[in-house]
This record gives sequence, structure tokens and C-alpha cells, in this order.
Amino acid sequence: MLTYKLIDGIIPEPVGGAHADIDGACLLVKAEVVRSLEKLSKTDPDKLVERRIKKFCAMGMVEKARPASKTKAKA
Amino acid sequence: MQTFLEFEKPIQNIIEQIEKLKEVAAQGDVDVNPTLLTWRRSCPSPAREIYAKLTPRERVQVSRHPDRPYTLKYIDTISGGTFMELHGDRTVKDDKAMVGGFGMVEGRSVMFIGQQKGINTKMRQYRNFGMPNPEGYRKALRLMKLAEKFGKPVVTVIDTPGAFPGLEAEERGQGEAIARNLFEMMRLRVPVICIVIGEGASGGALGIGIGDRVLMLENTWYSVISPESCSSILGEVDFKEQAAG
Repeated sequence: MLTYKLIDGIIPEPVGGAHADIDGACLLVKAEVVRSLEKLSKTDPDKLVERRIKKFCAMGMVEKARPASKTKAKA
Repeated sequence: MQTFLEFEKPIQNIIEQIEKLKEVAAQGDVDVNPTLLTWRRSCPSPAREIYAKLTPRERVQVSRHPDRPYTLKYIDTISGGTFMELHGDRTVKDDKAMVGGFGMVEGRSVMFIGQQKGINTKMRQYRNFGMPNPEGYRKALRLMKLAEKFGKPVVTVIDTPGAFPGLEAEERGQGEAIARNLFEMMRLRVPVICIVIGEGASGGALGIGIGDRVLMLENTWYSVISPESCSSILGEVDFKEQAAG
């Protein structure tokens, strides 16, 4: 999902998953939230909206399939 | 009592043996500390090994692990207990599957919104298994507008198996409620951060999932359909058989 830019980041979980160390997982999330908030709160609201719309509009891509005859010839 | 998934068996064995050792120590005067120390040293390694090579199917199981923390746990920890919940969509009723309210994060007030699941059967029914009705999405929108009015950032926490597909949900306009949320969230003039903490299924997740930063935890999924339904449509693996067997 990260490669297709559908999401912006992955937050790591403690060893053994979030259920193995609940407080640790919460703190990891908090650190990421604080970091993102600090960055985003400095941005102008108009720019935020514009960037958000652009980001979601750019999602999705089309891959053209090869014509059936060509694929068969190759196989 | 901890719950263990099938592939977590080696971890379960070690933890059970530690418990047994402790019982022995409590009954007699045998010194178990040296043995415990060796166990402790070996304990994190199987967990690390298992979690380093999770198959996609196992990852989905982890995302639904019954011991996994839910939205309110995250919100409470992030806001340090300052979270104040707000209720109601001002039209129908208060949806318990969707929670929201203000909380403080490092001296800044933030609007938290998220889907909440229950911790036991009764609570799960009360929370409708984390599946919001249209009033849940309308409550979320009302709170986002409130945050926008006061210039406060919005943090949404996503953990849902989907929007509620019942008859009454459709009657009250589930599709319209989610579509309106997408439209309004796009042009919210405050920062929006979305975090998927467990399951992120389709419109149920997207209804509060339009943000400047969309983040996912490591063992979670975010897709247009639940992995099981997808695989039964494609006809590759039938998970219902696995569950029954």
C-alpha cells in the first residue's frame, strides 16, 4: 500500500504485536501523532486542503494488459 | 488470561512453563531464579522469529487478536487520560460504535474520532462489533466540523470490520452519510491524521479515513473488502472451511 501511495507511513509494533505490549504500542503511536501534528500545524489551511485533494486524486493506476495473442505467442 | 493464536504456540509453551515454575517456587523452597533467567533470555527470541515471518493470513489474525488494544485505549494513552467524550449526531441517536471527543496531546487540544469494538461479548453487542450506523458517521462529521470551527486538529483511529449493512442503516442513508464524510473531510481546514489500528474495511474505514497523513500499524489491513470475502469471490481459498475444521 505504501508503494502505491495509498497510505503515508507504517507505524512499527512492539515484538509480538500490539497485544504483547499495549503501552509500548500506544507510545509508538503517540510519538508518530505528535510528530505529524507538529509538521502539519505549521502548514497553511488552504495548502492542506489543496494537498489532500491532490493526494487522493492521484490514487489509483491503470495497467494495460497485453493482447491475448501476443501473450500466447510468448508462452 | 492471555489468548494465543495457533502460530503463537511456542510463545504460549514458554509462558506456561514459567507460570508452572513460579507455582513450584511458591510451594516449596526451591530456588527457581537461575532457571527463570535462562527462560527469560530465550523468551523474546521465538516471538521475534515468529513475528519476523508472518504470513498474510497470520497478519490478519493478529489484527483481530482479542487481546489487541482498541481505540479508547489508544486515545486514553495518547491524551494521558484527558479525553472527554462527546455524544450524539443531533438527529437520530448516539452510535456506540463510533466514539469521539477532545483530548490534550502535549499541550495541544485535539479532536479524536474512532470506531470502538467491545472487549467481551456483551460489550461487543453494545458497540455493534465496531460497525457504525449512519448516525455514527454523522456524529463523526459533527465533531469534525466542531474541531474545524475551533481550529483544532483531528486524529481519527480506524478499527472496523465495515459499516453496518443492516436494513435500518440503509433506510437512514448509510451510503449518503459516508459519501458526505468523504466530501467534507476533503475540505476540512485543519490537519487530519488517520491511523488504522486493526481492521480497516472498505467504506466503514474510509468514512473517517480521509487525512493529510494516513498511517497504519504494522499488523493491520486496509482494503475494499475483508480478506475472507475477497478470497471466496476469487475462489482460491475457502476460509469458512478452515474456520469450521
